[in-house]
Amino acid sequence: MESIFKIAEIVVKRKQGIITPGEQAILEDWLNESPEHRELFEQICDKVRVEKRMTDYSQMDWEKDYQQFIIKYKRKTVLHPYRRLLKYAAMFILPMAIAASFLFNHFTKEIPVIPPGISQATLILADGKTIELKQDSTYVINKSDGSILTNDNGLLSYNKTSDLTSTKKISYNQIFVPRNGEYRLTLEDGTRIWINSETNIQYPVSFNGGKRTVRLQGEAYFEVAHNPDKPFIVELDNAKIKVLGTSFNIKAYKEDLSLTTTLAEGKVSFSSKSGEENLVLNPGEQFELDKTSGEVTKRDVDVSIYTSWKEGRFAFRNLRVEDIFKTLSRWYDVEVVYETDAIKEKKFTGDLKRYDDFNKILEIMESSELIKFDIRDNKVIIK
Amino acid sequence: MNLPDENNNWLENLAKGDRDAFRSLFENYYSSLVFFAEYYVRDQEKAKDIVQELFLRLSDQKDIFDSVTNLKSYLYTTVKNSCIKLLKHEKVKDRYSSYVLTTLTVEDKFWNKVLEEEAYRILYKSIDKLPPQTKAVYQLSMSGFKNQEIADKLGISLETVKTHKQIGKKYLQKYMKDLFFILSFFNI
Repeated sequence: MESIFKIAEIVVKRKQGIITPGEQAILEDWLNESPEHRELFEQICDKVRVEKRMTDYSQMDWEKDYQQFIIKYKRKTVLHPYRRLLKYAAMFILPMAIAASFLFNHFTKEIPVIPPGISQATLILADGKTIELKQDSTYVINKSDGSILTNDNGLLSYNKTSDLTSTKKISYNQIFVPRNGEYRLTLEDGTRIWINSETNIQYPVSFNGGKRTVRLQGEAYFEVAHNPDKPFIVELDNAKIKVLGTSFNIKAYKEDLSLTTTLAEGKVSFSSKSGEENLVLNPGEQFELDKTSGEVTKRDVDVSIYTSWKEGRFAFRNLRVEDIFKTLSRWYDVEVVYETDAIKEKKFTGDLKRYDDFNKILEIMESSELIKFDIRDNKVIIK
Repeated sequence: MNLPDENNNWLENLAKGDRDAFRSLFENYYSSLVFFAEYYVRDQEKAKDIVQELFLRLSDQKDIFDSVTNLKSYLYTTVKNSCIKLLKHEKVKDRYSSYVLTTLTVEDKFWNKVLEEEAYRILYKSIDKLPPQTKAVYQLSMSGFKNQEIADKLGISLETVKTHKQIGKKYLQKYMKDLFFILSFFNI
């Protein structure tokens, strides 16, 4: 039997005079199936009925209802039995509430609480299946390829697989950490990775070849397990970082104008995709690649500033307001609007706690009297 | 045209909680589901409550539908079940309510009603996409008015009516053909 949804469509085409012979045949078959079908067809095509129903549809203001629905949905309240009563109550209470809030606005400023990010990520397996990872979910997955995954307390680990490796094709998994999130990952070779918000990492389930290659978009701190026989390579959109056994931070967001690699321990070499530069980085040094010009700069830095996020801090040193808010908006998942371009260029220095609510962060920044804020629907307006 | 039926990415986006996909779902099915529910509960406000609760659930759950047909079946079936619940709850023992409860529980009758509402939904949505003057001509034509009557009603010439009908037909052929292609492509 043809699906009723297809029949509905064919009936419409018939009514509009654009039915094709094939469809006409399907319609005939359906009509001949039962007298009830024929009756239904005639009822649908009835001119008076069509006119009435078209008027019904044109009078239904779905957009207005959608707006109301969105407001309701945002509050996530289902007040079924009392809803109608509330509607009438609102007619009287609302004007008073508006007047009252207008008066009180001069004394108190009501700002919604914006909490910090949490441990959350999506794991994408080799076959495309996805698993939502949460801080409080603990489980072990035994995969058919022999690998064992453990998820516990915001850390996903791959355990060494049994001996059925070397000949097998390399299968890749991927972890995506959204805005407002962070996660930790231990690869099969023991390499530890701290993943920041809005970051995607692709990595093999087990390292079988002569190299250990992972792909990164976003920000992560790596503690690479030492293995001189198998260099560890981080591939970025515009560059490659080759490692022997070391700890470093990479910040490579797609929308940022530059990417940086900051070395804490060991030695890495850095090569950009465009140029042939192959520069070696020593502890306490940082590379910055300007993505537009392709220019690479090397400088000495205080490494702890660039790795502070994994220690639960934000360390800002004479940093542009716009750059500060790029980092904050990823962690708190807020949109930032600047009243003037000049504000973006102001500079701020300070240490803040990463697990504080956003409101606390703003309060501290506001106390510096450099800038003022307003929060509206997850949008921060900087004045 | 961005009718969700035509675009399978739309289902994916819907599952991801994409706002535009959700709005599109609302735009395309809200009215017909309200009319569908209203037919049974005889009160548009109650019908709207039922449908909005369904949309609220959809926006929370992020159900994944592998085809538009599955989604449509889910929408109409859920509304039906809510109507049954409400009618039973209200315990209105008048003849109409008991009649409605019977028709709702008979599968065939329910699907016939779905077919009817879907037909009007598609008819309205397709004509709604036409340019304004063509739309006006087509609406009258669908309601059974003759060309001369349409010309008189709209204050245009008989020739103009015919031209608009031709334009409209071309539009609809293209629009409905795309729809048909996608529907048959996904084996509905």
